[in-house]
Amino acid sequence: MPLSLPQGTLDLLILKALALEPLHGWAISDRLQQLSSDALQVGQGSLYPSLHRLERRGWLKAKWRTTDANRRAKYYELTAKGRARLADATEDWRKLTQVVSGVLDLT
Amino acid sequence: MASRWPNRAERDLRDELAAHLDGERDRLIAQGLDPVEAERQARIRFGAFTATAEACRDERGFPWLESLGRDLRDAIRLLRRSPGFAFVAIVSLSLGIGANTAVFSVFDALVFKSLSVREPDRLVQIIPRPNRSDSSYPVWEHIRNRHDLFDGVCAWTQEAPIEVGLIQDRTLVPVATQWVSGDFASVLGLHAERGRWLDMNDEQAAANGGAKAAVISDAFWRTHLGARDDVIGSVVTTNRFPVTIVGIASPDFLGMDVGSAFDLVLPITAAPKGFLETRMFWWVSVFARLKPGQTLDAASSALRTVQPAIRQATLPTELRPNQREAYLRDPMSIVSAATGRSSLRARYRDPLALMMAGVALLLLIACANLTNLLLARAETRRHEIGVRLALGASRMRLVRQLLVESLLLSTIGASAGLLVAAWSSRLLVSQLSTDVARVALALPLDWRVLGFATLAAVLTTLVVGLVPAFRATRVAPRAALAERGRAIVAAGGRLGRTLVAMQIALSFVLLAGAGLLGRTFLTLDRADLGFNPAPVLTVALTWPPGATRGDEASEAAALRLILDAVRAAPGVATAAFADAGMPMGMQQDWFFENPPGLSLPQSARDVYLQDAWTGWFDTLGMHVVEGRDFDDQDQRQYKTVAIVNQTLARRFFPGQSALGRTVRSGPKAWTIVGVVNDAVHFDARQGVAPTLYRLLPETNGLIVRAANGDASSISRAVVTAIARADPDVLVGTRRMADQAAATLVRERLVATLSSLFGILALVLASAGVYGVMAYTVGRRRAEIGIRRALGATTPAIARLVLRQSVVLTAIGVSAGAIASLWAMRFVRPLLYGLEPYDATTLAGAALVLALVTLAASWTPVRRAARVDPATILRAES
Repeated sequence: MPLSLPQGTLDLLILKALALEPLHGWAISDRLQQLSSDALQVGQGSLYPSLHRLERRGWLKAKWRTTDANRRAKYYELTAKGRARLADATEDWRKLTQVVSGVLDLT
Repeated sequence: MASRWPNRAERDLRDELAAHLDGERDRLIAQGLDPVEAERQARIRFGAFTATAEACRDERGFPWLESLGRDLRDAIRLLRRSPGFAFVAIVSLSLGIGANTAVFSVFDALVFKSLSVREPDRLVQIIPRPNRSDSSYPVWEHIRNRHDLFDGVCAWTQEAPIEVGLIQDRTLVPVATQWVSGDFASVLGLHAERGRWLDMNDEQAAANGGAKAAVISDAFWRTHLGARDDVIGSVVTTNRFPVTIVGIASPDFLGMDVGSAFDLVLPITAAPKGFLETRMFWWVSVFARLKPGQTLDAASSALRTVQPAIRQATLPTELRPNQREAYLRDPMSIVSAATGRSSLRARYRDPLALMMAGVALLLLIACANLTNLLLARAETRRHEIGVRLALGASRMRLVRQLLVESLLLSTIGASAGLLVAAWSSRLLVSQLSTDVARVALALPLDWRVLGFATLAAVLTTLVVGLVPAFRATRVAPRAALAERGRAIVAAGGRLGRTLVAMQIALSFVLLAGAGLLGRTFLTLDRADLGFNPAPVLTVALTWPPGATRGDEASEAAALRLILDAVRAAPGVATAAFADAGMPMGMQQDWFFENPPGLSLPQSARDVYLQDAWTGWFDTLGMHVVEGRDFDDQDQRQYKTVAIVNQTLARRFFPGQSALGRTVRSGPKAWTIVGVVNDAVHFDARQGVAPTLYRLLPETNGLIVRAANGDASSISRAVVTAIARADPDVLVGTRRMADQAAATLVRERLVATLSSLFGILALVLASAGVYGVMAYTVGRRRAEIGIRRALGATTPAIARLVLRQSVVLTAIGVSAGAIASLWAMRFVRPLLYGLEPYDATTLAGAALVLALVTLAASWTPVRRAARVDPATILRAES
């Protein structure tokens, strides 16, 4: 059973997936699926709008390149702003999960 | 598909999503699926392609604007695919919006628009006494001498103390003259198109009997002076004095009296000295400019502090003691003059407001037709819309797209409507002009008019498009797909019928209004005036300045010579002296004293005085009912005999003969020698007042009756005869019928417009009825076919279909009648001789509507009656 993502988490995961190298859309969803050991399945209905949103905010930039299969594909990579955002968001996420787990462990 | 991906961003988006599909498919193939199955699985996993693309678009910079652009392109393509629908929609919207904009722009120009002067908001008019907007010239001079009251004052009038005419080729061309003080232009901040405006030097020069400087209007320069370049500094001849043209007013300044056109502006000091000196003649409008920050109240109280001194210094000595007291006491006041003053405004504000309501109703009726058309279109597009919903398009997205289509229609309609408005508002204004008074209104295509048209377009879009858009998208995708494009289920039917009933109701209101106003006009137009203006020609005689005329006796002799010459001219039946413009023009009314033995209230003793001459009654087709006409004997003692009308005779001498009796007003007394039939001399609406006809000496106007009944036929002969009798005199002729018609301009206009609205409403409503009936018959073809197969006769089928039309009409007419009972109260002030709830008119409107809707249902009913059961049953199986 794939997990459903809380609001805003997808953005964080996308930034993380792109931290290593530039990827195109399908590769991102593939990477997320691999990284989460198939626990996460990202629907394209939310993946692509998210990519476009992150691009508009200046956290990602996109380039058209030719893939290994000789096909035109849009590669996304992190900008400096995006890297900073990833760091901040990761920090926030850690704090948040800590607090939330703390509360949940009380009972 | 190319047009769906019109630009690079769109192409990139498609490629990106397609690449994803490919990636997914390749992975599935690698997992061992065969290519076809892999493709299928990939698509299933991907989900709604268009919806994802849509969501991506929304994330981009201006999603709203961009998708609007795309919707617009789609809308244009769809409309081009159904040109018939687009044509009908655009034409009806442009007429509807255009008519509304036209009436609005005239109403706005007349009622709301500020004068085209500098800072109109600070412009005020000084009201010297309650109910009297004009001052005497001495009062104006005193106000002007108080420099500290305002930021400047000026005087203006068009209450012509004398008539000025331009002499061109031995004919007298009347010119509309305005008289102003020297500071008029500087206080108002007026600019000249060429040359300069009048100034204080011009006022001084005219006051000292020197050259008379004048500014002319742009229109006058073009129409009467041939738009000559050398006009500045040239001298034109008038019947009064030579006038030097010093400038042309800028075309946007149309004078202080909104609506009335002017040709010539003269210094007020060019008026005869008597007018400048008398304290009894009220003819000067005084305008002032408030100081910055000065309020109306502050200015009023400042004015009142100086009022006693001004009143004391300008007290007319002719006044009786109680009148003097009132003159000294009556407070001066100040009103805003930002929109100028206007006699036209007072007469046309209510009719125009009514016409605005009328055109708005018309637009509503047109909108109902369009809504019905859109509903029908939505029905035929159900399949398409269902498919798009199934593919994941959101409902709001589709509603927006359908609304964009309506918006496109109403925008094109409004743009074309502006052209219609530009043309028809000018036509409307030209209809207000009469032979006697020309009307000029500024009708620029400014932001107010554009704003109104835009508002009309947006409202129309919402009224027309909203309901069909929501209904069209209220589709269960599966149901729509199952129909395979065949529109069977029709939710639009009931709404369509409601709309048509509403159209009929609104048309009824317009028809009832048209009926009432039309009958009012006809009643007034055909009213028995008591005289016959048709064969009468009025003649104005003017001598140019410098023509020798000798003393009073020789002048009288010269005039009599002219009258004799006219009487002898071929084609002339009778002729008499009459004051120029009489008898439809200005009149005096005096309070008469109570006849012996009676005590009538003062209002009943208000008697109109009319100047007459021997042959005057004959010329007008009036007849003496008792006693005799004036004769030559009377002309020597003209001050003491009079002829009265029947109303006066009956009121002052009830039950007895008025002949030989004496009537008095103040020191004046007349002996009655004859009684003539009642005649309406001013306005049929006002009816007949008690009138006294007195003999006056020879005057420089004539009325002439043509023997053949056609006034224009004798015009040339009369002018020739006069020229032969006196080569110096200038002659102006006019048909009296034109003058009579001028008194009914408002009624004629209102009746014409409302009839036009009524006819248009009928056309639109019958189109609506036709549409809904054709739709019903189309939908019920199967049912009708089965009924026929089961033995229903042709009349039975016709009755079945016709019943719907009859029910619709009955509902519409009843609703319309109820609405009319309420709405017609607003028409009441314009009516004459009938009540707003006039049963005949309302019944007539109902009958006309019933006939028209029946006629509109004729074709659909016939089509229903001709349905061939065999064809239908085969098609349905």
